Amino acid sequence: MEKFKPMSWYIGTEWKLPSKGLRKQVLSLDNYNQLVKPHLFSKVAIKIEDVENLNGRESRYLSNELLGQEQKVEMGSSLTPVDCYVELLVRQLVAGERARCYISTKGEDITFILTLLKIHETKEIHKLNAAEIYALALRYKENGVAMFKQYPIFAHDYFARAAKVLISYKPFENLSASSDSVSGEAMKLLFTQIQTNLAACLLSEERFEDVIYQTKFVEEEANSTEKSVYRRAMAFYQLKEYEKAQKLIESIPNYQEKKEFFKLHQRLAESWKSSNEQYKNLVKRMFN
Amino acid sequence: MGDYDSDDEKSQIEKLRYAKVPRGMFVSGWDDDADELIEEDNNPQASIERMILWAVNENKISEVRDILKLDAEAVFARDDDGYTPLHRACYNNFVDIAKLLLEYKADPNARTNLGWTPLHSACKWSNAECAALLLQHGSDVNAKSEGEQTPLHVTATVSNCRNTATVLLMNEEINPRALNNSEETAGEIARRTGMTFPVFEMGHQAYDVETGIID
Repeated sequence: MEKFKPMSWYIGTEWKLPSKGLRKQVLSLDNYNQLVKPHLFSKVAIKIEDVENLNGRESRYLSNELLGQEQKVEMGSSLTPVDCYVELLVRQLVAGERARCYISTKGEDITFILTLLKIHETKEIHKLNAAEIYALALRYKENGVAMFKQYPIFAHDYFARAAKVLISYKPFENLSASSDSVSGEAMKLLFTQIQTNLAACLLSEERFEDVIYQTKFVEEEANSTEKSVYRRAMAFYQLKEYEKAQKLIESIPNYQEKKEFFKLHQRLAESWKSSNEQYKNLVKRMFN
Repeated sequence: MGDYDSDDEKSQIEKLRYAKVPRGMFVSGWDDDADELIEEDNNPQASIERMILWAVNENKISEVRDILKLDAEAVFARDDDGYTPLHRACYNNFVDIAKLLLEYKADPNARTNLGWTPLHSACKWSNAECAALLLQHGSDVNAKSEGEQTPLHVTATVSNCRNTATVLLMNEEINPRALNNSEETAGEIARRTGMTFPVFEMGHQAYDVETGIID
């Protein structure tokens, strides 16, 4: 005779992630089979019901047409903030779980009932092979590009995740297309593209030191893209490291004919001049 | 492993109590600090708590299940050093047993006498699968033991810790630059410890993003 039913304690428990305003409360756990939740790399089936306070925000999963129906979700495919957070909530559910979910907003909380019907496929991040890692990072990068204009902070998050996923396979030099299905060069190229995208996000967030970090490869590789050189030069300019910024700009062939570089070069010259004058004045004041 | 088919509680407890327990099975080959303190139990049949701790260490999932069916409170058993059955499952990377214990409400943040959580134990023995399981089920990724060591600090002391480091560093809530009582980050330890140092780049602040509360 069993005195205690496994997982019976689970009903009614709460999970919270305050930094993102996420919360869920377990309503039921039907047809419980085994203790499994979806990992970052998963395909699952969900059902959404009783959505409140979406208030016109974009969402594929919470849209009216799909409510109450089975929906297929591939983790890491969301393109709106609400859907990114729905995915995060889905990852907190055990297969068979039905939970009331809350997404805090600057207004009223979005609420809905989420059921994780089935986990079709799930794999822990450390078990992905090189080709899967590459594909996942590429998907994150493409999602970031798609979200960049409208939702830059979520784009930034995708780029950071993409970079981290690739870093888990560093050093890339040991990989080869024949044995790993993806070469070290391909991994490295994708990584620098992602770093260039990260640099754009960090520039707009005025995190200039971090831009310098993410564009270090410009100094090490001969074939860096003009975008990455420009973003590094801009960060140096903002940090008032004018000499380094100038050197970078002038490393671009015919930079005078390239609008962005030319403008930055002009701004640099003006700032440098004014900074030199300020310095001269300071020296004058010190010795007069 | 289904030695105990009867539903009769008395017969099961008797069978468990008199199960053959070879001597010397708890001798530790470990050479490291906290987990080194786990000692041999010469008489695991003496109590249900000692029995479950023994059964977990021996990877006897049927026995663990039987014990929990008899007394679900056994999941909270602790040895003299404060290790729970979940700690033992996690340092041995017995994932199925860890899942079973969690089903019975094992505390994923239980502390040993030195403040180690099951996640610290999983990380010390590079058991990434258990680490991932624990994080999914409520383990605090930033828990600090005595000496202010987080699971990531413990991970960094292992020379080849790629898998556990990846699991931890991909977690949304990790503070990868937490300091231990020697004012060191895990990345600094990894730099001098081993070959997995490149993976710790994930913890650099240039990869920090917080999407926060949506509009």
